[in-house]
Formats: sequence, structure tokens, C-alpha cells
Amino acid sequence: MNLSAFITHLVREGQVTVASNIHLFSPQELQNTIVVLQEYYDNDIQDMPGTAPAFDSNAALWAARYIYRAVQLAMLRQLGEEEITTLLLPYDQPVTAATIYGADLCLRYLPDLLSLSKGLSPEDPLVKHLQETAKQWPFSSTGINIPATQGIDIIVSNPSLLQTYVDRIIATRDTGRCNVQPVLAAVKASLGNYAEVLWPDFKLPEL
Amino acid sequence: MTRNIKEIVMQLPADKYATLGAVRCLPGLLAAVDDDVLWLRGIPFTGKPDPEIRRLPATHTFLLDETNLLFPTDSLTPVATLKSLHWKSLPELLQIVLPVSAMPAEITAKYQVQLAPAEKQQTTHALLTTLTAWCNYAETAPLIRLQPLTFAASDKNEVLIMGQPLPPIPGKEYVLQHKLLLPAGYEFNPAGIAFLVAAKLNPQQEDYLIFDATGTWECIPATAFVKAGRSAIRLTKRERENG
Repeated sequence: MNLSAFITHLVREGQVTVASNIHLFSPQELQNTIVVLQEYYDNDIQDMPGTAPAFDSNAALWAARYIYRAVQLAMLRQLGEEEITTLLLPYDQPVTAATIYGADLCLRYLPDLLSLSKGLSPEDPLVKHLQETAKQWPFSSTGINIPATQGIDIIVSNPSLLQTYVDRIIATRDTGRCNVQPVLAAVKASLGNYAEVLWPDFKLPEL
Repeated sequence: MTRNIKEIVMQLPADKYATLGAVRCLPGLLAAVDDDVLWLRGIPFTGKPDPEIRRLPATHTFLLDETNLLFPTDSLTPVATLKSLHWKSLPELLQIVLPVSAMPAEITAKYQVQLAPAEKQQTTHALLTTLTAWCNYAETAPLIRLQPLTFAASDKNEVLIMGQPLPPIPGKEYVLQHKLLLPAGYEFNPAGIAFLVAAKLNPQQEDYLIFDATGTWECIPATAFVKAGRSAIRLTKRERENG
């Protein structure tokens, strides 16, 4: 399955297959993937609060490749730490709100991938690598009890991202992500007078 | 010769048969028909006769002794011997037949549904507002406030939102009773007829009937409601704008 088909199946069906060998993505394959990601973005922003960040094709494509390779590495266990470092390259461009949202189109499946990797040792290089990526992309990694290390200020400064981030925190009951004052304030505002109904066991974290 | 009276016997015209209905439930009475004479026996000699027995249209009354001799009540001389008849108890003789029901009269007066101010505070379940207000709210509303809601939009750009908690936007709130939506602060007059009104107006209980304070109502099909979500609300607004 090529990269564009992989993304299509991931979004539509939640089930994917990957090639059993590591191959380079062709320029045409990458171009087709951007088209698929753009369509995916156009649909997804209909559910984003307010005005969603613009489409960042570079970030979206990077995340698509990252998830594809991560699935391959989870399946092809003969590949070692060196291949992980080579194939799961970090994002090397400046991070903006558009970057976070563009990458999220595929990185939102990172918690599911980590969940699938639970059968692996916690010290497995792939698991540690995925956890590190989850820390760096907090918008896409709520609900897996992993602290955020960067990017929160960008999320907080964008109303659309902030509300979506808060929606995800509430949906996954991720109290740990409420440790930043603006995020906590947004969570409390979202719950309003119905905190006991909407999040019955919600306890304010000590800041 | 001394009389040893054991009971009283009466003769009645056979065509007065139905009058025995009044004494049908008295214990021990037996009756038999002999040509055009109806015989009644088993009336206790001692004690005061039941008033219903005294009211029977008897043509003759006799005292019966142990040898079945019949004595007039005012004579010590017997005048006849009681015949051997086919005696039956009154419940056996007088079978009960249920009366034939007459056709019930049709009630032509129609009840006009009326609403009156409610005496108790009620929890609201629906909100009627404008599509614009609903869209403006949903643009930035927390997802968790939209998820419990469903909504239906009209051609007049009105939106009926159902669920709890309702969104904090201006509009008319409604109380839900048996799929009837009553304006908040009102209840049926008389109270407690909601299920009757629902059974009459909405027997299938599939749709919602929304009332105004004057008692008039409008039907909203259950299929008109969709789950609230930002995309669904935006799409609804776009469709209305494009006609």
C-alpha cells in the first residue's frame, strides 16, 4: 500500500496495511499524498471551532510519512534502533499553529499507535521514540498520560487550536494536561456550571 | 287434631313470574309452576316475613304442615294437599340475563387543549432559537456542550435544540412531556392530561408536538433532528443560505 492509499484507509476505515519492505517514497506518491491530505484538511476544518489554521502541506506530509514509517517499524521487528533514527525523522521546520494542525491530521493517530505498541517492552527504542514525539506534539497526544514539553504556547495563542485541545483533554479526561494556567482556565470555561455533569470526577490540579 | 305448621306457601298468577326477582336472593325459597298458578314455598312460618315477600302479588296464602296439608291463614281446616311439583330454587328458576346495552351517545363536544401557568418549576429540555444564534454559539462552543444535543432547523431559519444541558443562548425554552413540548412555565389545564393529549394527537409517539401558550401545536418529525456538531450546524446554515 502506497502512502496516499495508507492515509485514505487510515482516515476512512481506521485500518491500514504497510509495505513489508522499506522503500523510498516517489515524488508522485508524495504529490498524491498531499492532495489526499488537502482533501482531508478541507473536511476536518468543518469540525474545528472558529477559524482553523491554514493548511501546512509540509507538516501534514511529514506526519503522514512519520506515521507510515512508525507502523512499518512496529510490524517489521527486525529493524533496529538505527533504522528508527533514520526513518522517524523529527520535524525540522519552524513550528506554527498551521504546523501543529497540519501535522495533527496524521499525528492524532499517535496515541492509537502507542496503544498498539503496548505489547512491546517499555524500553523498546520504538516505544521511547514515539513517546518522545508525543511529548513534542501535545496537541496530538492527549489521553496517554505523557507530559507536554513544547508547543503549548502556540496552542494557547490560537483560539481554534486551544478549544480543540481543551475538547480533547475533556474527552480523554487528561487532567495532567491542565497544568498550564491558560489551558486550565479554558477547561473550566468549557465545563461552565456543568462540571459535575460533564466531568464528574474533575479535580483542579495544583498550579 | 293439631296443626304442626312448618312453612308458608303462596300462590301467584303465573304471569307475575317476574315479581319473584325481588325475593330471588332470600334463602330457602322454592318455586314451581302448575298450569297458570305459580307456587312459592319455603317462607319461614316463625318470625316476621320479609317485607319483599309481603309485597308479592299473592292470590292465596297458605300454611303448610308436616303432612303437606294446606291451611288458609285464617282457618284451622285444611283445604287442599300440596301437589308434588317440580320445585326449583329461585336462583335456578330465575336465570340472570345481562341487559342489552343501548348504543352510547356520541360526545360531540370537543375538548380544546388549554395551557395554564405552571405551579412548579420545571426542567427544560428544548430551546427554540434562530439559526444565526445557534451557528454563532456552535462556532466556538466546547464540543462537550454540543455532543448531548440534537437539533432541527425550519425553513423560517428557526432551530429547535433538544438535550441537556441546553446552550446558553436567547430563545424560548420548552418542557418535554410524553413527546409534547410545552412552553416553559406552562402546563396543561387540567394538569395531568399530557398522556391523554399525546395518545390522541401523537399515538405513534414518533414525532414531537411543540405547543405555544395558546394551545395550538405543530408537529416536528423525529427524523428532522440531527446530532449537533460544528460541521452539521455549519452545513445547515450553508444550505439555508443557498436556498
